[in-house]
Amino acid sequence: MSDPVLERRSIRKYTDKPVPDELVEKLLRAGMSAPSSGNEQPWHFVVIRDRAILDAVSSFHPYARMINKAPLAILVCGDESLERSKGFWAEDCAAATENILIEAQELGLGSVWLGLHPRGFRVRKMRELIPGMPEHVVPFALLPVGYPAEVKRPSNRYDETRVHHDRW
Amino acid sequence: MHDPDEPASPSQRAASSPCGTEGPASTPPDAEPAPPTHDAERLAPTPQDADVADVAPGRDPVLTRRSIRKYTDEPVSEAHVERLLRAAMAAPSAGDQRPWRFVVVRDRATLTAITEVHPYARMLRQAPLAIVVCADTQLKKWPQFWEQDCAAATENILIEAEILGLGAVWLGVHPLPERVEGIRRLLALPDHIVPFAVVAVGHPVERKPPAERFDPARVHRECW
Repeated sequence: MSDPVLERRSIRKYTDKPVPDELVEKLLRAGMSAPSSGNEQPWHFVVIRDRAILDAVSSFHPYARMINKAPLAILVCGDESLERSKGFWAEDCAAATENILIEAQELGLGSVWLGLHPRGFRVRKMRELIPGMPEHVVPFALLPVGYPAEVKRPSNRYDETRVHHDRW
Repeated sequence: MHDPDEPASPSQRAASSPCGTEGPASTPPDAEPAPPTHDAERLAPTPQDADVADVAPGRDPVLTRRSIRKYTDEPVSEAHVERLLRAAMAAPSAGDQRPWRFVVVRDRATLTAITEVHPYARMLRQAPLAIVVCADTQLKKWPQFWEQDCAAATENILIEAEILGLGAVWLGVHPLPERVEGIRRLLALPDHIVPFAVVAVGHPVERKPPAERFDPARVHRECW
């Protein structure tokens, strides 16, 4: 039995095999299939294949070393000007991000969630790397993507003590 | 350090699409995937071996998931509830901090009471079950990221529900203080536990085709 939600792991090692555009589009389609508050869809996506941009990320992001080997990355961004119910854009972008990670698993790709927002320094440095990115757009998370060069078994994180019934 | 004003090497640029907003070249946005098939079959293919041709769009729970707000009277089994919770706890989190806690609500009076503190929760009058995703905010390492961690766990529940043939919908709670306090009171949550979202769950009465939300205008290549 296969279940992409339960089998997904953070993949940080990738082969040299390029990821075709068709699969990148599926990942983006998955991202945009996420639910959002009042269906506001406050997201933008930047597909980055430019080696210079990818390599520059690890100069300011402390956990991004794997990106130097990734053939591409998807930058998930939030746009507060698209927000209808105030306060929910980051949750919406997180749902879109998780969708991309599960879709990558579904497609036999590997990815990992690199947090940007709300760390001001990372947000600023990331924005500087994308020419023309407006100030009102917030780089939310960066997802390196590639064919996995590591195999990880599903991690069993189920913990009964985290579950309560009817009340605390 | 990369200078954003300096174009990348010609070969890099040639390998990717030109700068600017545009849609991917292949499938047009109106290419509708088949309606979801709520059967066990979708669990069969191994995603590791799948290539483009092998992944039938109708089998992809990420793409077929919709917000379901109408449910039959059929109870949700304990096995299914455990599977939903397993899915939630399989989410990634910052530094693997797993800030999540869950309250499984089946008590009819509590489900109804939630509709009085949440303006979009009417479906809970019919729903057999709700999972309230909460966060323990006493985090030492990555306190700024618990909201995103809980959002990933919540989304996992929704996708897992789709895989299981259940229907679910995400009701936002945090960061709106009146909803947070209302739910906190109903569930007797301690001060350091913040209710993040309510997920209503049941067996679907309504079927919805996949929402085609793909919008090429939201896709950028290398630059804005």
